[in-house]
Amino acid sequence: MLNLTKNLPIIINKLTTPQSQKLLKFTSNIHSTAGNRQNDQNLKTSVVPQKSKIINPLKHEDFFQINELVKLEDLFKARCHYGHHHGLRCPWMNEFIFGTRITTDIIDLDQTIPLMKRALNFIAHIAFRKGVILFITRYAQHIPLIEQSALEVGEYSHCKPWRNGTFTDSTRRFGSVIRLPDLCIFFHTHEKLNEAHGALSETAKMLIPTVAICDSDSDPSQITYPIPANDDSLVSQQLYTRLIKEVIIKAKKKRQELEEQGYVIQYE
Amino acid sequence: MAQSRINKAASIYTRLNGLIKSNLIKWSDRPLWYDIYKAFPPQRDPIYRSVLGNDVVAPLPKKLYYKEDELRAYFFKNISPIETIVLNSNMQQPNWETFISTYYEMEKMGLKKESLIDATIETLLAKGFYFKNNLKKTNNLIEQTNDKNNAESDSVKNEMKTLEGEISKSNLIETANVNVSPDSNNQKL
Repeated sequence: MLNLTKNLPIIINKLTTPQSQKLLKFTSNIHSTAGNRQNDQNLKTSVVPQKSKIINPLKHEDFFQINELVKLEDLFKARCHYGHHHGLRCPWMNEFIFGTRITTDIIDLDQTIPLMKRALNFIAHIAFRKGVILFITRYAQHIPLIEQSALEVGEYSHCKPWRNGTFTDSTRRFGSVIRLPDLCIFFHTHEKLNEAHGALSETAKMLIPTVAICDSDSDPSQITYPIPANDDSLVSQQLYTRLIKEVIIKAKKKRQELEEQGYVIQYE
Repeated sequence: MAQSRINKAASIYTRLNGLIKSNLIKWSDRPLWYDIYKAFPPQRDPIYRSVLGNDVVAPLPKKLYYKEDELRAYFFKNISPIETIVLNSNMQQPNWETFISTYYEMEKMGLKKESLIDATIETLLAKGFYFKNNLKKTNNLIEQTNDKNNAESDSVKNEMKTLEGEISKSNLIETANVNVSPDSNNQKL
């Protein structure tokens, strides 16, 4: 017999501080602005920097070496090319589908790789600028994996049922002005079966960019950086979390090293 | 922060650009992602679209068929039924894939098309492969009925006739299952 009472406290220990409390710490603007962040850094280094010590990471084409990370063979081994039954297909996903094999859609991985690189590059740049990243799913099987990966990286996750107005009506919901995330990563775009996640429209309303893994049954039109790939199997989710974790840690480390060496990061 | 919340009108980038142009948001107060988006824009402008609108839907994807499908269908119908696959490992090759690969090897050797399937089954049996037989169950049932009804009934006769016809069509039974051959059945009757 399973002893549930013994197992419970371990789960609770892992998730001690709720994510909403962490978000409450920031009591400045709803959006962290680019100007404020630059001023903060300039105040610390009040001395006028040399020209050779100024870096603009946006001028590099591949600042975080992401081209080496994504490989076609890994995607195939993680079963990222499997879609849903062709009856469930969203018509906007037609261009990303290679063909239908005995009533199941097969996703074209040649198209996913450049899209995935672009999305990972965007995530890395946001992490480099110390932006807040939110991981979102409602797929019960993947929730522990994604919550844990968010904790390991030092970012936030929202895997509970979505209440309408958490972004749009945030001040009333949390009791004070809070800072919203700078980027939302959707590991699964459905909240219930065949029902779009409530956060998808709210991010578009609040001008928050999104990265999402779109299966053949999800609508990619309103997502800024869609990645057409399988989002149901656990092996493929492990691959996505691994890649995103690697990218975020890489960006944060790079920021620390550059600041220690006395470089100044400017975006203009 | 001042912003329009009509998410279906335009993409987030164009809406923010408009706000900056009209001085509702200062240039220094622009959000964090704006510069990154400008430097590395997405493949498509993320605007909402509906199937009823003017946006053109891409053509339907094609259906995928392979050259080996004919062989695969033959294998499942006549030689052995589909078996379970272990999804955790990519190392194990399914039974029918080995059959297909050996078939193409034999084809390269220069055998005739009619004798190719028999030859591949013979080679695989020599290597120690085991095929589950489709027709084994039906044979056993007939034997049981024969034991119960000592006299030869017409229905059993008809069944046997149909069975023999199938066997003569595909000469696989002789090679795939040595114990139950058509000749032995006749002797029992």
